Amino acid sequence: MSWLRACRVEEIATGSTRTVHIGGEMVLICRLSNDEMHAVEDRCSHDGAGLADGALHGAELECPRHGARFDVATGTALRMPAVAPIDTYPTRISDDGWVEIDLEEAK
Amino acid sequence: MAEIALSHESKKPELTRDHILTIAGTETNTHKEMERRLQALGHYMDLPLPDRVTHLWRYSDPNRFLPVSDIVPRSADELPELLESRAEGVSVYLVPGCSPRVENWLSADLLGITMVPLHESEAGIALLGSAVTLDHGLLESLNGAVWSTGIFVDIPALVHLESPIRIVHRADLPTNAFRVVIRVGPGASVNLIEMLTGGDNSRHVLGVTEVVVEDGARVEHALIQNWAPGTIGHVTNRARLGRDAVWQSAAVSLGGAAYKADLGATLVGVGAESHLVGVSLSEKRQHMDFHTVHDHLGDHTRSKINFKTALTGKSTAVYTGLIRMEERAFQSEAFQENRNLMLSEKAKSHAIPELEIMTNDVQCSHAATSAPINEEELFYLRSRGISEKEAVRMLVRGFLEDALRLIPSGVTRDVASSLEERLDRLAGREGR
Amino acid sequence: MSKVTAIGKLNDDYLSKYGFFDPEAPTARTPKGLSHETVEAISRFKNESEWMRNFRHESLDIFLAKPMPKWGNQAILQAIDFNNIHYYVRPSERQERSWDDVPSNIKNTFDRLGIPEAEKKFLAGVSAQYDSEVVYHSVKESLEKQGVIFLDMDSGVREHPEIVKKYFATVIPQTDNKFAALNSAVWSGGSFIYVPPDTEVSVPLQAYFRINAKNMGQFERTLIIADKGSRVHYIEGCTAPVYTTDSLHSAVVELIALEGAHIRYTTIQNWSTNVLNLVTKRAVAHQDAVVEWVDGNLGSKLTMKYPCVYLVGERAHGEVLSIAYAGDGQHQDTGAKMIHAAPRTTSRIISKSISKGHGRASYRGLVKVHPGAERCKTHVECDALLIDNDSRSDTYPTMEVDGRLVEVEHEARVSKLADEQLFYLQSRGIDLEKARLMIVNGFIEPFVRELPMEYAVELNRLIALEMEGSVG
Repeated sequence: MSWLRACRVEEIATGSTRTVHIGGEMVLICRLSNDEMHAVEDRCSHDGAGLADGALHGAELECPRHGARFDVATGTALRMPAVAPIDTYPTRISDDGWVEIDLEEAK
Repeated sequence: MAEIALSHESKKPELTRDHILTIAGTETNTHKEMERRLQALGHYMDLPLPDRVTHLWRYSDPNRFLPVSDIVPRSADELPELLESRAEGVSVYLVPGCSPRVENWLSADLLGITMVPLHESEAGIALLGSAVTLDHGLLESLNGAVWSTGIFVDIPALVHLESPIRIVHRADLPTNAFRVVIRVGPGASVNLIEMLTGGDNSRHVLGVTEVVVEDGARVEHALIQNWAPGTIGHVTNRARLGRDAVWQSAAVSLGGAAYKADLGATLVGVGAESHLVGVSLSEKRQHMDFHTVHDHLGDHTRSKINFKTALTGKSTAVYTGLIRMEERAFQSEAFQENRNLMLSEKAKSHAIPELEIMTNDVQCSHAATSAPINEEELFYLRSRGISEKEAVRMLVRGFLEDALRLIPSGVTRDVASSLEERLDRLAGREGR
Repeated sequence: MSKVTAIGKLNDDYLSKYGFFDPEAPTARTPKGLSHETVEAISRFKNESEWMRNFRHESLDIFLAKPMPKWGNQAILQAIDFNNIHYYVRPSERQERSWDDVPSNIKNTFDRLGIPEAEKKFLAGVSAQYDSEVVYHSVKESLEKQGVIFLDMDSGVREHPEIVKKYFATVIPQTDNKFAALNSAVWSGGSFIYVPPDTEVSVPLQAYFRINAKNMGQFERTLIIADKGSRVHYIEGCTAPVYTTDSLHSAVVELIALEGAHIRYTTIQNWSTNVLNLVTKRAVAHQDAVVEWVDGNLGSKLTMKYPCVYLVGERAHGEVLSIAYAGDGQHQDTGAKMIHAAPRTTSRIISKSISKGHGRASYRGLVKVHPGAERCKTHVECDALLIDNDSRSDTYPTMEVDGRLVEVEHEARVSKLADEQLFYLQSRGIDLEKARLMIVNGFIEPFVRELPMEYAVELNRLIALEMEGSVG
C-alpha cells in the first residue's frame, strides 16, 4: 500500500477529469458530479489510446473516439466497442486537500 | 509528487537555426554541412508529430523518443579515458561531446579505407541523406539537423577487410545524437558492427546510420543494443543497395527502457539482396519497437527477414514490418517472419506485418506468430529430469536458434555474456 | 420547419408545416443534403416512435461532429460530398430507366449468368418492383410456426419494439465511427430477425430479400438475434451486378449469437462501379456460440468493410471467409476483425483477393487478444492473386496479444498466376484462357464451396466473365 499524491482537489472541476503522469503510469482522475473521486488507467481497452478527452456521464466515462463506456468505480466496460475492463486505483482525499491514489493496489 | 500532464496537445521541441549553429560550431563546419542541416531543419518544422493512426507509431508514444535536453555542441575534445580495447579489428568510439576515437586502424588504413569525422568530409556530407533521406520521418529530420557526433567510413572498390569494423556509440550524455555514413565501394566486402552501449535513466539516444552498398559489394552488419536500464533511444539504420549488392544485417536488442529501431534496405539495383535477422529479449517493463522495411525497386531482387522476440515480465515487443514491391521489381522475392515467444502473463506483443505489392510477377509471403512455450515439449524435458528453469532456458534457446545462427560469430562473441545472462533471467521464476 | 420538396404533379402545399406525414403519399424523397429536417422527415415517413426519432437526431449530431477517417483510400473518401445526396428515397420511387438505355455488356452479363427476365429488369433499374411474394409465402408460413421473426427493419421496429430496444445499437453504437453514425441517422430498410431458443432455421433466409427494393437501399440496417442454441443462415445481396444511381452506401449489420447459438451471414456484393460501399458489420458471440461471416466483394468503386466478431463468452468461435475481386477502377479495402475477450475462444480468418487490370485489393485485419483470454487460438491466412502487371495488392494485418497462453498465427502470400501451372494445363490441351480461369477457380474454391448452390453457380459464371474481360 503506498499512497501517492496526484493533484489538488481544486485542480479538477466537478464532472470532469484530469490526467496525471504518476509512477510511470498515465492515470485519469475523475471527479463525479457528486464530488466522488475515482482513478482509472488512462487507456481505453478498445484501442489502447487515452481517455482524457472523454466525457463523464454520471459515473460512466465515455471514450471520445468510438463511444466506449466504462464504470469509473469498477473499471467495467459498459458499452461497445469496448468489452474488456480498465484498471482502477483506490483513491482518497487527504486532509490537506490532495487527491491521492494507491498505484500498488490497482484492480 | 506526480507531474501533471499539461495537455494532450503534444508539441515538438522548438528548434531554431541558432540551436544548430551552436551544435555544429561555426569554425570547423563546411558550407555544405550547414546546408544539409538547415534542409533537415526545414523538414522537421514541416513534419507533424506522428499520431497513432500511422501504424509505425501505434504502440509507441513519439514524445517518449524526443530528446528532452539540449544537445551538446560538437567539440574536438579527446575521449577522457581509454575504453575497453579490442584484440581484433578496428574500433571507433563515438561519444557525443568528444571527437571520435579510432583504434587499431592500421590494417584498414593499409587497404585504403578512410574514416573521418563526418563534418570534415565533403564526400561524407554529400552522401548524407542518400540511404535515410532528410525527410524520412520526424525523428530522422531532427537527427539530420542536430547530430553532434558523426563519422564517414569509405571503403574503396574491391577492398576486402576480414576483421570487423566496430563502431561503438556510447550514451554518455543526456542527449546523444549520432550520424554515421558509410560507403562500400563496388565489389568490396566488409564486416560492420555497431554497438549501442552505456546510458542510464536520464539518457536519450537519437541515431541514424546510412550505408550505401555499391554494385557487387557485400556487407555483413550488426546492430547490437545493450544499453543500461532506463535509457531511451530511437535508431534508424538503412542500406541502399546497388546492382547485385548483398546486405546482411543482424539486430540484437537487450537493454534500455524504450527502444525504437527503424531498420531495412532499399533494393535499388537489379539482383540486390538483403537479409535481416533480429533477436530481442525483453523483461520487466521494457518496451521494444521494431520497424523493418524492404523496399524493392529493382527486378530480380530478394529479401528475407527473420525476427524473433522473447518476452517476460510486463514487457512489450512491437513489430511493424513492411515489404514493398514497386512497379519495376518483377521477378523479385520477399519473405518475412516474426515470431514472439510469450513467457509471462503480462507480456504484450503487437505485430503488423504489411505488404504493398504493385506488380504481379513477384513472390512474397509473411508469417507472424505469438505463442507460449510448448507445454508438451516442456513436459518432455522435465520428465527427463531436467529442472524447469533449465528446460525453459533450452526451449527459449531453441526458439531463438535459427535466428541466432545467422548472426556472425564476431557479433555473438561481443554480446555472448549479456545474452547468456539474459537467457538465465528469462528462464528464472521472475515474471513467469 | 420541415419541408419535403414535391416532385412532379403534387400539391405545392403538401407539407406546409411540421405535422402529419402521409406514408401513402405518392412521393417520398427528401431533398438533397443532410440536416435535422431530413432526419425528421425520414422518421415521420416511417411513423416511428419517439425513441427511434431521438436516436436518429442524436446520431446526426454525432455524425456531424466526427472527423473523416485518416486512413484508407483518402482520394475517394475526401471527395465525398455529403450535401449532394438524397438520403431517403422510398422504395417504390426508385428511378426508372428504359431497357434501351441499359448498356449491352450489362444485358450480356445477365444472359450469361442466367438471370430470369423479370429479375433482369429490376436489377437494371428498368422496373421498380420485383414481386417475390409468391416465392416467399411458403417460407414465411413455416417460419411463423417456429416462432421465427423475419421482417424488414422498419416493420421490426414497429412491431417488436421490446426486442429491438434491447439489442439495437448495442453491438455498433452510434458513436462507433462516422459512417455508423450516418447510418444511425438515416437508416432505412434492412432485415430484422429473431430466432427463438433451440430453433433451427433450416432454409437460408434470403429468397425474399435477394432482390427486393427494400434491401437494395443505401443505408440498410440489419439486426439478427439468435437466441440460445438456435441456428440461422442469412444471405444478403446477389452476384448479378446491381445498377443504382445512389453513390454512397453505408450499411450497419449487428449480429448477436447468444449462448450456444450459430449464425452464418453470407454476403455477395456486386454494386455498380459508381458506388462507395462503406459498411460496419459486427457480431457478438457468447459462450459456445459460433458466428461465420462469408463475405464476397465483387463490385463498387470502393468497398470498406471489415466483418468483426467479438468473442465474449468461453469457447466462442468466429470465422470470416472472404473474397474480394478488384478490376479496373476498383478498390476493395476489406478484411476482418476478431476480438478475443474470453478464455478458450477460437477464430479463423481466410481472405482471398484477386486484382486484375488496374484493380487494387487491400486486406486490413485485426486480431486482438485481451488479458485473461487464456488458451485462445487464432489463425489468419491472406492470399492475394495478382493477374496483371498493373494490379495492386496490400496487406495490413494487426495482431495485438496480451498474455502467455495464447496461440496466434498469421500468414500472407502474394503471387501471380503461376507459369508452371499454366504451362502444365496448356500441355494438357487446355487453352490459355481456360487454364487461367481454372487456376482462379481453384484459388477461390474454399469460398465458393460455402455458398448455396445457385450462388456458387452464378459466382463461377461471373468470375468467368470477369476473366474474359467482357463485363463492364
